[in-house]
Amino acid sequence: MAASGAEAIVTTGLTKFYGKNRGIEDVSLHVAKGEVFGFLGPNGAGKSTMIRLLLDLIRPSRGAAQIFGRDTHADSVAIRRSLGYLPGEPAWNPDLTGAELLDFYAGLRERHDSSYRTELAERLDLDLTRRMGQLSRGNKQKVGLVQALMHKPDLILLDEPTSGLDPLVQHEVLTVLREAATEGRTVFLSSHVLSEVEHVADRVGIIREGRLAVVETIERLKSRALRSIDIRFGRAVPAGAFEGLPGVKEVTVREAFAHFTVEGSIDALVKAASQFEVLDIVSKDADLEEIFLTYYRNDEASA
Amino acid sequence: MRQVLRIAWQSIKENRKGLLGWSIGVLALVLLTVLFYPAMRGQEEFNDIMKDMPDALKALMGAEDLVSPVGYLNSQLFQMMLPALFLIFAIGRGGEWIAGEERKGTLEMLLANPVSRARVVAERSVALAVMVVLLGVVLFAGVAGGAALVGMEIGIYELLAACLALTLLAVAFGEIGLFLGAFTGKKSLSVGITSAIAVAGFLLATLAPVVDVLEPFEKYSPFYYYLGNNPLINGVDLLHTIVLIAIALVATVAAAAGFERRDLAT
Repeated sequence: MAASGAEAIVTTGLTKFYGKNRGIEDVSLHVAKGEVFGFLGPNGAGKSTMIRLLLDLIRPSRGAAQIFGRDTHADSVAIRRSLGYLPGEPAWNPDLTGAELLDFYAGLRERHDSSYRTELAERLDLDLTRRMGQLSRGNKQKVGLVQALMHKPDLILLDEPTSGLDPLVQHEVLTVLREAATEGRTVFLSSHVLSEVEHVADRVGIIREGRLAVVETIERLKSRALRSIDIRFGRAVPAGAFEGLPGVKEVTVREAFAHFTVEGSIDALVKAASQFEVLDIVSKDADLEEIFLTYYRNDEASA
Repeated sequence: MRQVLRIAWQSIKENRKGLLGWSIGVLALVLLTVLFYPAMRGQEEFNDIMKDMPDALKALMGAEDLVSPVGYLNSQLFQMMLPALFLIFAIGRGGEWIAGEERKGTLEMLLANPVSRARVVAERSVALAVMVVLLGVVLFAGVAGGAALVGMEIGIYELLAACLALTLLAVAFGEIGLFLGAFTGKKSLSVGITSAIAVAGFLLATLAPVVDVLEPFEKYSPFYYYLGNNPLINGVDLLHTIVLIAIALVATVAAAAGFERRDLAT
């Protein structure tokens, strides 16, 4: 795998237990270079454990991980040269200003572009002359983002990067991440909010109780998504006309109104409806939140 | 050099206010004590009182002689007061710089950079030593200056030797604190155990000369290598100096190894 050279992250059977408590279990994952990968799961599912394992802050109970073909434990320092990290709750000495802190970190790296740091601070509307102790949660988060991005790392690991940020700044952060991916850099970000990664990620992995439940492209996820369709007909229709259509999961007919839940394509439903007079169709787009729940429900059903 | 020791430099910089406060405290203490000396000078009856004290008590207080310059400085400062202050300072830093910062989450931010854990331990050990040395310099200047002001006759070389021995003792205990913090990740545990070792070591080294059962164990106490030779009279003892430096170095290496093997706490 190391030889392929196209993989940013490869984990094989990566497992972490804290004593008897589960962190993650048997996670095997590939993230390609230049990809934006969203790592989704509810709080406590193991997202931070995964990221901290990749950083060698904690060590696996079983399995292994490679970043750019190097072992995350044996070559940790070399890997961290080309890595940027934002933890879920960044903490710093409250007496330092943002600039002092970033100067210190920059001095620990050879690669550092101070003009990009300035650009990031401006785009995120961050004042680097203020002390960390005076900053709000959101502004601390911004310092954390600048810290993770300023040296243009090849791999950016972000744990819940947009939490605590207002929507405008959130949008700007996602734009910055998208730009990084366009430049060939890899972004791995965790979130418990699906809408947060929907517009930025190429693929997402959903982790549930420490296990990787699914890895899909955003498109495939959406194509598997349930969508809700309401149709108003010219007159009352028989419910039987829509039973057993491919993709149609749920049918409720009340006189001239019908409500459907459809997985994937709505083609069969539309063709079946066309034999009646159709006054109106309302289609609600697939929400990743619902997909998420669908996967969880399926998982529970099979378990 | 500053590039290489960036973490050490930053650690000292972030603690400069604390160091300034401690320096002022130490300076005030030694100046007040030394400037009070003229009132003691020639009061031989104090020594007569001491003669009737039990040996163990005399040993704990550090001198049978409270009146000569050396006896006064030993009993009032170097025996108990200064080691207590220097050790509290050093042990506190030692516990804070790995375990304390780990708990706060700031160590995780540092370790996201391309620095090995061994480097963090090594540079913070250096920073700890530098800060204690600076405090030792303040101590030396305070005693020497105060002694000059009141005409207290004291050998400068011997005073330097005592300040050096105290500094090395504090560095050694600071690095033990760093080791326990790095090994366990728990600051309060590190500070507690290191302080307990210090108190036990103090009692062992001071009581051993007068308590027969303790005597064979005297050399197991780090304090023996500080006061055992009475540096205010005898100057630098090379072997004792080497032992204190060795304790500090071994503790630092053990800290790096202990830190490397474990998970960083959240």
